[in-house]
Amino acid sequence: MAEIPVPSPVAVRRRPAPSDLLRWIFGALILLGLGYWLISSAVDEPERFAQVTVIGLSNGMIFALVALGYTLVYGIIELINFAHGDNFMLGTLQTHSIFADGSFQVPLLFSTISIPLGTAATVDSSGVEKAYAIAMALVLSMVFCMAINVTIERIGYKPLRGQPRLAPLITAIGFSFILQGIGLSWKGEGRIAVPQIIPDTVLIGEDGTLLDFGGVPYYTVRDLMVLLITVPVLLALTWLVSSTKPGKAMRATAQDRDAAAMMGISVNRTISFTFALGGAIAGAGGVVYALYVGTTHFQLGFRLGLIAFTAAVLGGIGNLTGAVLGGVLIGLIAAYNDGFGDARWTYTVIFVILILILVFRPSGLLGERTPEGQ
Amino acid sequence: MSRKRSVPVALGMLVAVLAIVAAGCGGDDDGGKTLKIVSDLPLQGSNLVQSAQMVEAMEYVLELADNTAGDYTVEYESFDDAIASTGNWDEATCASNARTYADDESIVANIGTYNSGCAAIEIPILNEAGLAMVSPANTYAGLTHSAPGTEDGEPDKYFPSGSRNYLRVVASDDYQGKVGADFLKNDLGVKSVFILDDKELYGKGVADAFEDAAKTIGLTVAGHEGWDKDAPNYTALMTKIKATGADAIYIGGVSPNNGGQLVKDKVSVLGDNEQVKLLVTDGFVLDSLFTDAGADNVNGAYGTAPTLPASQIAGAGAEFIDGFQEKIGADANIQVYTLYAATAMQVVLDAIARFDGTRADLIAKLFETDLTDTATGPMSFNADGDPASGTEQLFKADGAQKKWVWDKSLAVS
Repeated sequence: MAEIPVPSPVAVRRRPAPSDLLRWIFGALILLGLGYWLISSAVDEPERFAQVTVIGLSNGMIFALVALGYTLVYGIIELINFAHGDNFMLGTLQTHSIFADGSFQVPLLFSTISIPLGTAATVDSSGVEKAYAIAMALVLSMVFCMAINVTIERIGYKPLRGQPRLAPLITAIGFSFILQGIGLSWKGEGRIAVPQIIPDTVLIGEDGTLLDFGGVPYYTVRDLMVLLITVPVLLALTWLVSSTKPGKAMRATAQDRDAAAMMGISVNRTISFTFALGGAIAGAGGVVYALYVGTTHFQLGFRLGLIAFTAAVLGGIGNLTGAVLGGVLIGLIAAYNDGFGDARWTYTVIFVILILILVFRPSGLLGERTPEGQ
Repeated sequence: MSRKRSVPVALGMLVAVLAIVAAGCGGDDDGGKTLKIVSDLPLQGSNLVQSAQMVEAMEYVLELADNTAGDYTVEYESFDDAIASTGNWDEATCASNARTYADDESIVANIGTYNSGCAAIEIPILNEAGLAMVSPANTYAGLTHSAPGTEDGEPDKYFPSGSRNYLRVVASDDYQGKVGADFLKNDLGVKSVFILDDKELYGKGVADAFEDAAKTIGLTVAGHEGWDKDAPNYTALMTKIKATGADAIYIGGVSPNNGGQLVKDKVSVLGDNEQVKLLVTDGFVLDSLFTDAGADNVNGAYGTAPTLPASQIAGAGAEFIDGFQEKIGADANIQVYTLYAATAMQVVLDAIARFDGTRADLIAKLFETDLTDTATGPMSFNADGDPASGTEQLFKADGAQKKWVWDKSLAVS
């Protein structure tokens, strides 16, 4: 009997569907248009472009700091911790207490415990006083937010481990509102101005400083401060996750919780550690935001948390570098639209670009690389 | 009838007679009918200082009137149209409040709202219920008449019943925009101005009216944009404004919409308010702005408002102010709309004293108002429900005192 010839595998080149082709052409056209707009803006007004870029980078790094907290927790237990933005908000309020009232405060339901530290400072305070106030703000705000995050994890998320995903998600939304309520009863409903300890001194630009780019001030001490805090935090975090024992435990837990437990890793302790780390980043972000922006209010965490969460998704949720990339990209897009387009459409533009990116890369820009894969 | 049975019957009749007498004493027959007036203001957030003082002023008017108007006893209840989560007025709360007033037959008038956007929601609901509404603070022109900056279909779309039920005791923004443009050009010598609005009905309306007036008098408009109230900061926006070379910024809106951050970033990027002038509308002329933005950043800014300051009011109004100042304490700064809330209450009490007890007649009597001695001076209305004569005043921010200080009257033409 003749053997039925089996066709050898042939590489078949699949033709892209017309809808895919249209999608790519549409995307390419939009990207070309955006590129042309940005390049022509840079060529026409290089000084302003530089200034707006600096603003975008600084804002973006603040978004990135908050986004890191979202992505860290998601990377380990795949939970969108909606309370993270509000924890960051409490960090800004604690910074206000430290700079304006000179004390560390613990908000209770109807009162506040105040521990005087002598950290009240203004722009006219001496360098030593300012350094002391900023150091105390960083340490205490990080500890404060860390304690909040760990408490939330212990009483809210831990009992729901292994339950349907909606349960912890709704709990996270609930905690978001609870933290807003704490902020409201602590500092009231109005916006509050945080003393501007760091002067807006120009480092590069006019006023006879390092360089003069056509009389436009564009790099200030405050911008430098954002850079000096954000970059070390990111580097330390990356090192911690990739090169230390707790970091390896985090990655193992993220990859396979049961296998990690069988290898002797305390899963509960590792998850608590992750939340502590996320809280500390929220606290640091709160200090940076208060120093850079100069005002805060109890609802700050909702909008900024939404932007930061978007940044985490844009970069690829679960990926630390992606969160920073997403944050910086959103900061830049917002600044370019505010600085060269029409400010009333800024968030429309951000989300149009986000949708476009997600259409082409549903897992985000660096979505394939998760903490466990680094 | 036996004596044994007649005793309880007689007692029962006695109780019934007493009950009828008691009801009569508290009822309608003896000039004792009770009516209710409500006020609708944002009692949270940056508006709180202003709105709480407006409530105090209305209560003081009632206290002076011994809670009566004509034959009626008047009750008053203050409603809040703001929510804690934003510290600002809320659409759903405005609608819910309005439905409450419409359904409660004892309510004859609503003194409110503070925000024009909230008024745009409440007026149609109350219009269908035939309930009078007198605002002490709405300045958006389109609520009562068509003007530059108003939308198609205004104001008719607010009055579905076809008849008017809304009046206000302050002049509308078509004056405010115009006097602002005149002041910048003629008094401060401004050549080019950048306009910002908060994208709300009032903010955009007054900014559009200003833009229209500026172009008419030859003041260059370097740009006109809306700001996002939820943005973390506005430094990039201010950088763009700096590049336009504008020597003044005009802000139309309300300060609870992140106005503090906007003013702070303006000073941070463009310099203080002497270098690049800042003119804001009445929604920013609040003492809370000094806290929100930092007193140094507000210092030197100018603000327009369609309200007379206490120092410029004479006669019966001055007497009222003296008494009210004593009540709230000598140190308390009377806010820009406080006395207009008192005027609105006086106007409503005056109409109640003349009306026949129906909601429709109260509206008619309100339009016939002709008072010479309210807390802010004479008050009467045109057919649109606007005050027959308006005023526009200029205030300057004093950072040291953290308050807006009256500067001068601006000519309204």
